[in-house]
Amino acid sequence: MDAPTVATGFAALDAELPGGGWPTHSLSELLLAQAGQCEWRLLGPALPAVVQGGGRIYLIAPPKQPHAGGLAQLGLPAAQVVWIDATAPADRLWATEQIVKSDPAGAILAWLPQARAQQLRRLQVHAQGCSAPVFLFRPALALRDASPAPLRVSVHLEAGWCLGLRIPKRRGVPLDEVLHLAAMPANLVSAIPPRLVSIPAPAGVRWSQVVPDARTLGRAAPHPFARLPIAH
Amino acid sequence: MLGHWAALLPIPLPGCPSPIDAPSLGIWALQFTPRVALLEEAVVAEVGACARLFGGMEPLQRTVQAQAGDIGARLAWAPTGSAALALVRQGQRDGFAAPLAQILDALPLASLTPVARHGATLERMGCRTLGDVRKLPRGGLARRFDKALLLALDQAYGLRPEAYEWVVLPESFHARLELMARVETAPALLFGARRLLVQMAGWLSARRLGATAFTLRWRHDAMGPKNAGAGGEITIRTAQPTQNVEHFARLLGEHLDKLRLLAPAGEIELLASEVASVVENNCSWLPDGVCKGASVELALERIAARLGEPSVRCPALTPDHRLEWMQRWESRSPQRTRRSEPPYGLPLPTWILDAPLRLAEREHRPIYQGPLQMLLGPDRVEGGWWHRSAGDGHCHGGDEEALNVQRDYWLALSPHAELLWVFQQRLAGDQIAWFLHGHFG
Repeated sequence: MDAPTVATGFAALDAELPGGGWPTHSLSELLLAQAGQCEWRLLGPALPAVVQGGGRIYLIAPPKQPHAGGLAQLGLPAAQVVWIDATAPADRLWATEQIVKSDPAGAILAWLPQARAQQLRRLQVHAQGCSAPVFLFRPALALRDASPAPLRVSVHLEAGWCLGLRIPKRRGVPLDEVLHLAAMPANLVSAIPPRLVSIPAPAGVRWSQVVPDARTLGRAAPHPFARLPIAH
Repeated sequence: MLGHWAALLPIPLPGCPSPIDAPSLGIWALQFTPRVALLEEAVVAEVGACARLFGGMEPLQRTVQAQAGDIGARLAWAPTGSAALALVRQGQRDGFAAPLAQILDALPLASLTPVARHGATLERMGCRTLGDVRKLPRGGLARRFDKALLLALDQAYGLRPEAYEWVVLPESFHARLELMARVETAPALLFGARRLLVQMAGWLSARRLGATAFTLRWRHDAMGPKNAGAGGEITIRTAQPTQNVEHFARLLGEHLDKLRLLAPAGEIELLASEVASVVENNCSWLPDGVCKGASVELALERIAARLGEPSVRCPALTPDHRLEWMQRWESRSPQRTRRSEPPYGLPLPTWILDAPLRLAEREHRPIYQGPLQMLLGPDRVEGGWWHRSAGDGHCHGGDEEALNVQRDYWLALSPHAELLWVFQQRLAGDQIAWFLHGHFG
C-alpha cells in the first residue's frame, strides 16, 4: 500500500520520515526562511539517484538563476535539468500542475511562495498519480497556515555546515525536536581542508580583529577562534 | 463476397452550415482501411480485413463511431457496401442484427438509387419496400425495367460482387471550411478548426506521418474594415511529429488565445506544412520509464505555448572558466549533441546572480547581511580578452572591458550561515571592489 520513497541521503532524516525517505505520490512542502538559501544542500544527496535512470529535474520558477555547472558537480547532469520560468503566481501553479499531471520521470521542484491551501489541495490530488517526488518551496511564514501537504519540513541554516530541520507535519506524530544534519555541499567536500570541517560560525566575532587585512589572506583563512579570548 | 462494410453519410454539425464533403470524408476514412470508395453522396469502407490491426471488430467500430461523430458523419454497418448505404440513408445503424435479406426487405424504395429511379412505376404496381420488388418475377423485371435495377438489388443483397474504384490518398493535406457565422474572436476559430484537425490526423495516420508544423489560415469576410487585409495565418510547431488531435487542439487553442483578429473571419483552411515520418512504439506489458517521457514533452510544449517559448529552458555548458559564460540557458532544443565537459577544478555555486552584486565594504572587508567570514580562497579566474559581446562588440571599449575578467574568488560565510561565492576585482585606478556572484544554496 505504501508508495515508494526516495532516500534523502541523511540517515537521521530517513529515520524520521514515514517510509524512510522523501515520499512519492504526494507533496512535500519545504519551508525556508529565504528562497534560494539551502535547497540544493538539502536535496543534493537525494536527487542524483532520481536522475540516474534518465529522469529529469524540473525547476519551476526558481528564485535565482540556477548554475548548471554547480548542479553538474552535485551529480545532476546539465542535460537533465529543465528550468521553467514563470513570474505570475497563477502561471507558476498552472505550470506545476501541468508537469505533475504528466507524471514525469525524475523530480519536480517548485517555488510557490503565494499558493493558497485550496490550490495546494488541487496539486495534492494530482500528485497522487505522480510517481516523481514533488517538492514545494514556501516561505517559513506559511507555517502559520494549515496545508494539505502530507509532509511539511521547515529548514533553517545552522552554524557551520549544518542544517536544522523541524517536521511540523508528517504521517504520525509531528517531530518536536530539531534535527541537525551535516549538509556540506557535495562539491565542497573535497575542497574543504580538514581544519575547516568543524567551523562553528560565531555570530558575535568582531571580524576586524580576526583577519588583519582581507587582501593578504592565504589559501584558507585563519581559524576565527584562534585569537578569541577563551571564556571561563 | 460479404465483408464488413461501413457507410458514412455526411450530416451537418450543429455549428457549421455545410457538411463535410465526401472526398475529404474518404481521406479521413483511409486511416482505418485502404479499401475506401465514394458511393454517390456517401463513403463506403470495407474494414473486415483490418479488424485485427485495431484489436478486433468491436474496438474498431467504437473508434470509427466516436470519430465519425466528431467529424460530422452518420454511420451504418452492413455485410455489403450498398446495403450499408441503404441503411445509413434510412438512419439505421446495424446491418448485422438480423439476416441481411430480412433487414433490407423492410426498407423503402428510396434507399437504393437505381430502384428509386423507377419508384413511381413500382409504387403504382403496389410495391412499397425493397422486399416487394424482390417478390416480382426476375424475368419480367429485367424486361420491364433496366438491368441496373436488378444489378443493384443483387449487389445489395450480396448475390453479385460489388466493384468499386478505391480512393487514393493525396500527396499533401489541405482542407477548407466555411464557417456558419462570422467569427469575431480568435479563440472561437478553434471550434471550426477542430474538425479540420480531425481530418488532418486521419490523413497523417493513413500516411504514417506526424506533423511537426501546421498552418491555420483564415479569410476575413467582406464586411470587415478595408485596412484589415484579406486574412491571416498562424503556424504552429511541435517538437516531435505527432498525430494526436487533442494535442493539436490544445496547442492551437493556446496560440489563438493570444491572437486578435483584425476583422471577422468567414472561412478557415488548414495545411499540414511540415511532416515527418513517425515511428510507432511497440507497447510493453512492463511499466516503462522511457514511455513516460512522452506526456511530459507535451506538457512542456503546452507550457511553452502559453508562457512563451523562452520560458522553458535547458542549460548548455560551454568550455569557459568565467562563471557567467560557463553556462547558457537556451529555450528547449531536442538535439543534445554536445558531450559533457571535463569536470571543472573549482567548486561552483548552485545559484548564480544575473549580474554580480557590488558589496558594501567596511574596513576593506565586504559586508552582506553583516561582515563575511572568508573560508577558502583566493582562486584567480582571469581571461576573456578574446571575447567580444555579440551585439555591437567591435567598437565599444566598455563592453569588452566587462567581458575580460580578473577576479579572485572566495568562498564566504555570511552571519546567517549562508555559503556565498564572492570575488574581489580591481577597478579602474587603484580601487578594489567586492562582488557577490553566487550562492551555494
